[in-house]
Amino acid sequence: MEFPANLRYTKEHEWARQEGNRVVVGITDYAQKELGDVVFVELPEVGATVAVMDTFGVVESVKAVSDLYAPVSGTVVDANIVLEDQPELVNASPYGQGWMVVVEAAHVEELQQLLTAAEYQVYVAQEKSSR
Amino acid sequence: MQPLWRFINTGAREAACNMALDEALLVVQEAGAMPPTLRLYGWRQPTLSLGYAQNARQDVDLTACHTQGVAVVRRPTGGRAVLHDQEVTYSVVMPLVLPDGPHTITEHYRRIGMALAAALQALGLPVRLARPQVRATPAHALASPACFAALSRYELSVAGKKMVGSAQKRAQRALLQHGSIPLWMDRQRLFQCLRMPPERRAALVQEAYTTMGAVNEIASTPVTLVALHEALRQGFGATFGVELVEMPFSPEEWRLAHHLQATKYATDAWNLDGAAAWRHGQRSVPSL
Repeated sequence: MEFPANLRYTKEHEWARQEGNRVVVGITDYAQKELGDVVFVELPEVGATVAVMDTFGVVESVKAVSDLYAPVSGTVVDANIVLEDQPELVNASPYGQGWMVVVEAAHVEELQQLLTAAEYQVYVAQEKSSR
Repeated sequence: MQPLWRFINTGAREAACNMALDEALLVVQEAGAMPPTLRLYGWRQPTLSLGYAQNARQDVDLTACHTQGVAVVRRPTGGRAVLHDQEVTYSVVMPLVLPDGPHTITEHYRRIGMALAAALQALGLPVRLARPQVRATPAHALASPACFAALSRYELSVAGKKMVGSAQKRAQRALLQHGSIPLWMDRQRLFQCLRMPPERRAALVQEAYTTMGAVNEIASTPVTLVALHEALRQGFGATFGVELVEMPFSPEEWRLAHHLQATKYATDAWNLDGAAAWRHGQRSVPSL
């Protein structure tokens, strides 16, 4: 399972990659494994505003519908519409071609409140092991 | 003393009301204001419920539904079409993480599956709780617009026939899982309500006799609604180690449900055009 070190993570299993004042967002390798085959991704329109920890979209897999939570506040400047026809990219390449939205951050320092790769790895291990 | 769960039996209601009540329960659970809840319910008229992302205009024969007196509603959960009629419908809302409870999606299906299995076994049905298949290819998963035709997660079967169709919606702190436990099943009617070439329909109906099951097709003596209700209540109590206490919906919860019913589940935008179109329409409405 992958936990790229250059990303930040939410407890809801989204990842965030900073590119200047923009933040690229997707769901993690752990999330896509948990969900199983993704069959549908619903993303916001370009221009939509998102608030940190509000839902910005929905992903449906063969197992469940799951809300997606914004790691930062801001405006959506790009959405990966390829996922409309190829939702399986989320499974195949969750950190690459499976990216979901790009947000022009209102407060890019919000990223500092997210988990580091090491912290997220610990969090996932706890989630998997406790019964 | 055992931990408490909430139990509600809302009886047979309109399709939109049923979905609104399930979403209201999830909202309340998200707020952390309520113990985990088991709701049992039914349908005032036969109803085709669709998965969250299902294309209604592509998959549903709306004329046939109208002719047959079948209502159509879109669920907040995923999956495919289910025809609700003579059945018990269950919904469970619970935290994503319980101290001794399931944490992962599959674990939730397994634990709830165990409760359902306990209920059906107590009624004399030899149910199996099937393990998840290693990988369902997208092509296989989309082969049929009907839900019961796919056995894709921890699910209950008798002699290979799927007995319960369940689906899950996960939010930030809580999840909703609901499912249909048919007492009787009209396979012909289900596929008549779905759009497809007649020869495909005939083939799917034939196949459905081997893949889809109903309680009273298998039980040696007919199981009543009341007996199934009681068995479910016992099954969940025993499996989760909890006492289920009857707690009806509060006035606030009813207000929330009525709002969801009126603005979402009773609208063509949500049911027929889909979630994205409905949301877009919501944004265009000036807020009061």
